[in-house]
Amino acid sequence: MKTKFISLLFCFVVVAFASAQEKYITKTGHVWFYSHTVIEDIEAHSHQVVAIVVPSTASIAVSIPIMSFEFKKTLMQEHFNENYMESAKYPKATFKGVIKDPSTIIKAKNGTYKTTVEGDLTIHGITRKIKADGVVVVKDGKFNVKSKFVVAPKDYNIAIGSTVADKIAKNIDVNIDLDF
Amino acid sequence: MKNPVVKYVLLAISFCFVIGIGVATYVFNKPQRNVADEKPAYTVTATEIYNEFTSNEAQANQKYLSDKNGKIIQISGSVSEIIAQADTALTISIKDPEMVEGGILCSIDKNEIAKAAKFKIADKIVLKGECTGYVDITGEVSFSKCVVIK
Repeated sequence: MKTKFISLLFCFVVVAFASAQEKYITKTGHVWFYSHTVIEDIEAHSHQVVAIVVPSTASIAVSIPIMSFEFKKTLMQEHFNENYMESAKYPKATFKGVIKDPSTIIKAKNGTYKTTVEGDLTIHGITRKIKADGVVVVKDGKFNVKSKFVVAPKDYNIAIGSTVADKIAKNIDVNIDLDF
Repeated sequence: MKNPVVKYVLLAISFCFVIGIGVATYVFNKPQRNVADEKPAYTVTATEIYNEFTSNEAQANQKYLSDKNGKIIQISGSVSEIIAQADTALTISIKDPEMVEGGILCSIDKNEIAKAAKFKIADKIVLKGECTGYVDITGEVSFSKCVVIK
């Protein structure tokens, strides 16, 4: 009886452990940003976003190598890394947070679901709480997450000199597109 | 314009002006970095660079990243994962047997996808690419614009 109980307990532990470990990973997520001003539109893309979603805890973790952002103009990319993001010192942007209503992402049914994400965004060594709306599209056990939010460089101590201040937007649109 | 000195000075000034415009245009439209033509700053095995980033990330950042961009590094190791997205993008993970977790994540340059698409799991390969730092959540050293050496 006792051994039966122990083996049953063991089974429960294994099952609980296995479900707790269930996670979805992407290593090729797409992130891009736009800076729009009257003088110039600037755009940069990275396809090297790594993200992990753990449905059981509704948690999401995202990591973006800053030097993986590509601009049309190489000079602009070098200025971005050297003068604004100080990428050698702060090589990644990270987000650690929670997806509200996690049932949306573990729903087996195909469909499109709205959700919100809340957590800590770290850019340029500065961490701030953010909240963003997202859309989850579930299809045959796989899902895609899209979100758009606004980042103000001054919130992250990114100093933009007065000579270029008119060319770089005060609020920058960030888009993220992750396939799991 | 009778004075020949004035004429030459004017000629010299306009010459400099044209050169100046040329240089400025070139710098402003600086072409994308061509990884294939650049000599690697370091040649390492997957295990070596992985150990450096996992034991002291700040120190490894200082070694493998420069202010303007990541340094060009040549890496060798075995293929552990192939992530293809249609024909437009390819990412290859390199891992050596002694690495328990994590690995080296290599985003392949667009022009090299056809070559790299032939790789199979466990193939011993050599790539050259731009280091973009360490992804802590998966324990991987990240590379972009990778070209195939072997």
